[in-house]
Amino acid sequence: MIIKHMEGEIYMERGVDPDKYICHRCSNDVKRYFYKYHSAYHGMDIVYCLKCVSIGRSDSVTPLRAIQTAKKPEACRYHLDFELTEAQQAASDRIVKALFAHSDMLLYAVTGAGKTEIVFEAISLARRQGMNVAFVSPRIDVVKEVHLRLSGAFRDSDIDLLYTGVKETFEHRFTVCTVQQLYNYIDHFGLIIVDETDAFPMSSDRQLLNAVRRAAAASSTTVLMTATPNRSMIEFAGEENVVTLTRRYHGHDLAIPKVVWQGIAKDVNRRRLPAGLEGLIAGILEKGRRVLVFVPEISLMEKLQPLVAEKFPGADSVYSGDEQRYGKVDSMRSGRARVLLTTTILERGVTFKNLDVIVVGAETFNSDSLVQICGRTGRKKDDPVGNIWFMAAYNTGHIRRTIRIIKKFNAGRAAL
Amino acid sequence: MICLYCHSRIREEADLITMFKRQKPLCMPCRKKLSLWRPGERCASCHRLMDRDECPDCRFLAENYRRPGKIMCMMDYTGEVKMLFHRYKFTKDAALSEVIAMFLKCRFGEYDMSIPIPVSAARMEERGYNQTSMVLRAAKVPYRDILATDKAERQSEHSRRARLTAPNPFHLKDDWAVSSLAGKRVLVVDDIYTTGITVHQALEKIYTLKPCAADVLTFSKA
Repeated sequence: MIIKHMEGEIYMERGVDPDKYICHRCSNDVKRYFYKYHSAYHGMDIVYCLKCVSIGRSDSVTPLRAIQTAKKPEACRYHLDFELTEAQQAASDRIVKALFAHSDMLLYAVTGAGKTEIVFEAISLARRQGMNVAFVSPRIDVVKEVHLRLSGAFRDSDIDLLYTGVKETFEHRFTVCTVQQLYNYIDHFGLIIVDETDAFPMSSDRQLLNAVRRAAAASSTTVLMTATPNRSMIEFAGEENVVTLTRRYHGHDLAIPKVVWQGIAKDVNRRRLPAGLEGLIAGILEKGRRVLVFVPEISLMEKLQPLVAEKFPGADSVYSGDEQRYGKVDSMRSGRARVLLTTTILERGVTFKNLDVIVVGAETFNSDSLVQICGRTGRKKDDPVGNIWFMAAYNTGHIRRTIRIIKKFNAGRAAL
Repeated sequence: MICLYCHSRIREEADLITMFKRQKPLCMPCRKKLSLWRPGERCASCHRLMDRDECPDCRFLAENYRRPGKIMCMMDYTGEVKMLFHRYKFTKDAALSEVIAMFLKCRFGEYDMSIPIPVSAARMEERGYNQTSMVLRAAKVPYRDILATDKAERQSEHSRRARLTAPNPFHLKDDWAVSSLAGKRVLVVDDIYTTGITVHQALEKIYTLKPCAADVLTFSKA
């Protein structure tokens, strides 16, 4: 069943219960996330839900409408340029097995393991049986890139693409979208794949996992994919359904971060480039490599960027609200820019060749972020390792944990 | 309290100043993002960004219409502000009227009357509110609806040329006493000023009531 804004039969008399403050679409029940105003046109107070307003307003005067859908199988062949490694193939088989058993699954795979390709076989099988398939992620960047990759592999299929502001829909049978978009689907998908399950805002918003549950059909399979699972994800899938992939697709070890004990706040406040940072960047550029410098806060980045650009002309910075964000990332990818300062927005979903990473203020990052950041290096076959430096004023549990997780991955064990 | 723009919680330290103030419905980072103005030369009258000496829109309007006293513009229509208006007008996120109201730095007291640009019945049915008067209400500014419109299609769907040549869609409401605007100062309020044709058409009708001065307030200049 798909909730539509203007068409279909009435599924609920109204989208929001104005007395109890419950949104029937996204099941939001926190009063803070409702807005009430007096409408002269309706002659009454209107309450609407702020949580899901971006996918069409659900309010107390409009009924929710929904359309029913029928199953429709398709051949759904796909095409892959390379062969899966043994480990990838084993994981792929496990997911196919889960699909037949209608059980959920947690794919706990190291960054750069080739997670996306692993689910191709399951997607193809599900579509052949007429199940609707959704590939979702909390991050728009990931959604865009996955849509490109899936369109390249499943050339004969019509793949929907949905995120805030973009809507390319065919028949809602094979959908790539952000997790919020799932609020519009009830009991609809036979296979849901959630990529980067631990990313913001899914990490902090439990409602989103419920949305996944609700969008899934009664007998269905949900595959959560992550490099940094937490308790609630393991509970969601069940401990026995965790599949781990500790090797990257090219088989090399992950680089272990080197820690430099130096805080940078003092230098930056005095408007000079920290000597340690300057030395690291210079060393990286000398070897003809590129560097991403992760900065904990936008305010710090704004102060640091001119200092870095003074010594290394062309150094740029990106953050989530940056309008030229995609242009800057592209110029980094093509090699025109070689130093890029960034907030955590580039912690996942990007691949650069010959990349090294520096994390300044590493003591303020949590281990999930740090593991993802470390995963940016060495993602290509011809540059499989890369270097990582953490610059931290002091040691933290998260830094220790990050190094421990990476060492365990390299030893072939996964730390649950 | 949450920020009505990004929906994150606003944490503000309570001190002597903030304690007795009504909390703003917008967090500091969002406020910064929405207050950005693109640098560059602007038209002295309509605040349009331009590189020439004379603004072609204003020249066209001056040839065809009587011009208002001054045009005040509160936000630069770019990036986040575009997003803000898109959400406010097309996804019906009415809460954002409070956010826009925060940016109204205008001395309404200098005017005898504020007149919002009306919306058509079709648009009213679809959206459920007049986006301009809703902001005025949120800013606690008294206003009078003396205009009405029968135009159904969206201004943003039209090309520049089509907008400039369309007939005047506004008319004065019948129950309005014609004499009561004579010699008064009025302020015409519109949400987004693109070519300026909408406000000038509205002004054309208002000038027939012989106010002594008419200024324009627009939330954003495209």
